[in-house]
Amino acid sequence: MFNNAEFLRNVRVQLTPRRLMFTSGLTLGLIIISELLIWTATAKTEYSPVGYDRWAEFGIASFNLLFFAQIILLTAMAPSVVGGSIVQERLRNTLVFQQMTLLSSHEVLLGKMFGSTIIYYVLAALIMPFAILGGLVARIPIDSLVGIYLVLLVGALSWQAVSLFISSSIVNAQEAAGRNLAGLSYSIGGLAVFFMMIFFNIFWRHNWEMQQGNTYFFGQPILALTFAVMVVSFIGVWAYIGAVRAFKDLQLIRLSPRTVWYFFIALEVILVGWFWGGTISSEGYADVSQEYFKRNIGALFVAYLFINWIFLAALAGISVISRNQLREWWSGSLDAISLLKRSEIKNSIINFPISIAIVLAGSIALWGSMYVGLPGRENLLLPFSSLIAMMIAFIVTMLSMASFIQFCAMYRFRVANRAGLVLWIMLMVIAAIATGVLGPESVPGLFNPMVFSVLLIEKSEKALSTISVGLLVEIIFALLSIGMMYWKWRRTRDEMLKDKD
Amino acid sequence: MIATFGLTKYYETISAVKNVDLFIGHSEICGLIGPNGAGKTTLLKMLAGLLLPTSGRIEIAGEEVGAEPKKLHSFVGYLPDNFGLYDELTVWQFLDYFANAQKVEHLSIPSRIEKVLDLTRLVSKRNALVGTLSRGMRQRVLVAKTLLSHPKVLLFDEPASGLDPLARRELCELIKMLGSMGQTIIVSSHILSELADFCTSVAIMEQGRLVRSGRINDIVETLATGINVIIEIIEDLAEFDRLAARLRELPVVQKLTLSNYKLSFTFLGTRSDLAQLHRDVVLSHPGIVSFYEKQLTVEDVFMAVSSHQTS
Repeated sequence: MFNNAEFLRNVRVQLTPRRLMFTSGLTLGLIIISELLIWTATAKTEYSPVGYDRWAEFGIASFNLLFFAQIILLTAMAPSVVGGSIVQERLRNTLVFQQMTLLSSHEVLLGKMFGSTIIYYVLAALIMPFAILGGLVARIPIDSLVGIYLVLLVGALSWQAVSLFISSSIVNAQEAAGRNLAGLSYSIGGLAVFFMMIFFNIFWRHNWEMQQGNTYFFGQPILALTFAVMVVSFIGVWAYIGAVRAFKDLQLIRLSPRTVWYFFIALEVILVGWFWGGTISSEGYADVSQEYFKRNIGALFVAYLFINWIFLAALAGISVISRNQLREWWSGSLDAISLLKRSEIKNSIINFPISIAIVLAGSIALWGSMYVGLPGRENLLLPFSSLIAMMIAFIVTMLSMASFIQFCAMYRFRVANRAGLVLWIMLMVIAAIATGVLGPESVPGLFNPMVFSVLLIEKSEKALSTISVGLLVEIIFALLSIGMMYWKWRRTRDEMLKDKD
Repeated sequence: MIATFGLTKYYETISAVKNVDLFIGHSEICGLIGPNGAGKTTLLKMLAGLLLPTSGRIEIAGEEVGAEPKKLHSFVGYLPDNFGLYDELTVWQFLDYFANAQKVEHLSIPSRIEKVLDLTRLVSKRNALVGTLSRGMRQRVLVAKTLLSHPKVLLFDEPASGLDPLARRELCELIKMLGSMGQTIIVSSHILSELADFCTSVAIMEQGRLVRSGRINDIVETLATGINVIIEIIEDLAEFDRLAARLRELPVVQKLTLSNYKLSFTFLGTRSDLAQLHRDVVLSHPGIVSFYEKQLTVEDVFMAVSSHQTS
């Protein structure tokens, strides 16, 4: 890291001796003042309970305040600044240097991640001994303290990676709508603090005692905290990989299509492991009513499909074929660049069905896990025929979504490829509202594969008619979307070939 | 040194660069000329590996770029028109960052920085903050940064825009010096007088197409239909009219234009015929102040080959 030019440049800018001395002095001063105020405020009064321990009260109040300051520094300030450090390159016209640099994408991104935020890490490190001292005085267990700081560090790095990913993705946006997202990194900082506060509230209570609750991963008991950290790390790692890909794209470096597949495989591993066997523990098995158990399985299946739907929608939005790419598709040129672009178009087209296949493989594994995890309860589980119907509904909806987004991308929208995705989300929101008014077995309800799946799982009395009507509605919409896409595809082709002449 | 074959770039339905076949030899300083919107910046960005062409091939220093424009970044230096610098760093820190970023051998970085500071006459500014420098100085810092990695080709996009006359003069001198050191350079500009001084070849673009390219002398030769001559005379209208009438009678004198006691024409005879004409005219017209041959400038070349259209 200390040989990394990008890191050193950021350190030179961020950590000037004058700034370091001033901020360190100010921080130490504020710590001393706050400690004095807390010490005064925790003095024993006539209203204090019997056995009042002033030192313990002082310690916990001190730890709470100083740890909160560290959360702000590392999860609000650092992600905001790291995202801003990329957007700034565009705003001050230095992005061209980043595009032409011989540093690898990892060197640039890690340099920005740690270099631009170094002042916040230095200040957090300065606060840390005082906070730990407060924690020890308050008799917070050592393992709890280590856990808190580990989670803070993992959370901070993950949110920085998320901010880096979003900034790298929008930094070269040609459309005004994309560039205006420059302030987004600051919103990410706010969101990160909110998330981390909830996180700490769930896992540490009663004067920062660690909650030792268990969850299950692939049917095996695991500390809920460990699982939560695993999920946060998953988000951080993939956000960082996304940032590297966005940065490589900026430098016109060829991207491997396999990363998308690996992402979906990793996502399915996490989701299937989490929802494995219906997540009902064997100890609690006897207490769980059959009705609850049935609903639980339904909710998990729907949650599984819904989470995947979100990521597939994002993939459809990212890998949509633009008008420029279509021009290349029809150009027939045989030079290296044309061939590369055509192979990229092919990758975009292939990526989507492969990702759907990975999701479906995961859903079969999830379905199978419920039989493995709960022998003797098969009568409550989803029959294979229902699983097949759900999978068909899901595939049809994904195809209609991809076709609809592609149809929109062939128009000259101001927000370009994102228009289709936004319109699709709006369509789904309208359908959800209509479902609320007309009921789940109405046409707008069945249009949504999630509602359709819930009806199937709950074994509605009208199961057969639900399946047939639901599938029919979804197939009609898919055919409509594919038809519109094909029509626009032909028109665009004619326009471009005419223009070529 | 630089060759492009059928280079094309589309932005949606607009063709910014269309089917450009360009060849620039080693150590040449090529002026990329054209009106605003002619496609100069798009062409330079493709040569710098910042923009992927829609189709076509680029070959620089014998290296086929193909579908990996990143390859270009190790031996092409690009100086954009609208650039920013890291204002919070000193000139030395700025160059140190780029030397490391361009993977210059670690031990040779200090000496390399000193050398480029010397070349760009920035030695006295080595500890100055980049943000405090004038536009001309910043331009030189950018040149210094680009020279750190010994690029084989330098691409200047409208380098003189926004510079005052003195800074413009200094930049021209710097480009001339780089050219004399054997550097291959492309300088784009729509201000033709800027390029006249130092370009050895030109490439003229219009509406995304390359209208003409080659060494200036070769183009001048193909364009020249005679010798361009200018005669200046004292402010005597009668004398001026007599001389004009005499020249009009000569069949070897074409395209005679009169303005402000100055006669310009194209002489179609040989050089010894011109010497004879010079003798006769000077002897019979005592009011003549000067009689000289006008060489074609970059501007003349552009005016001759361009259809004067903008995108």
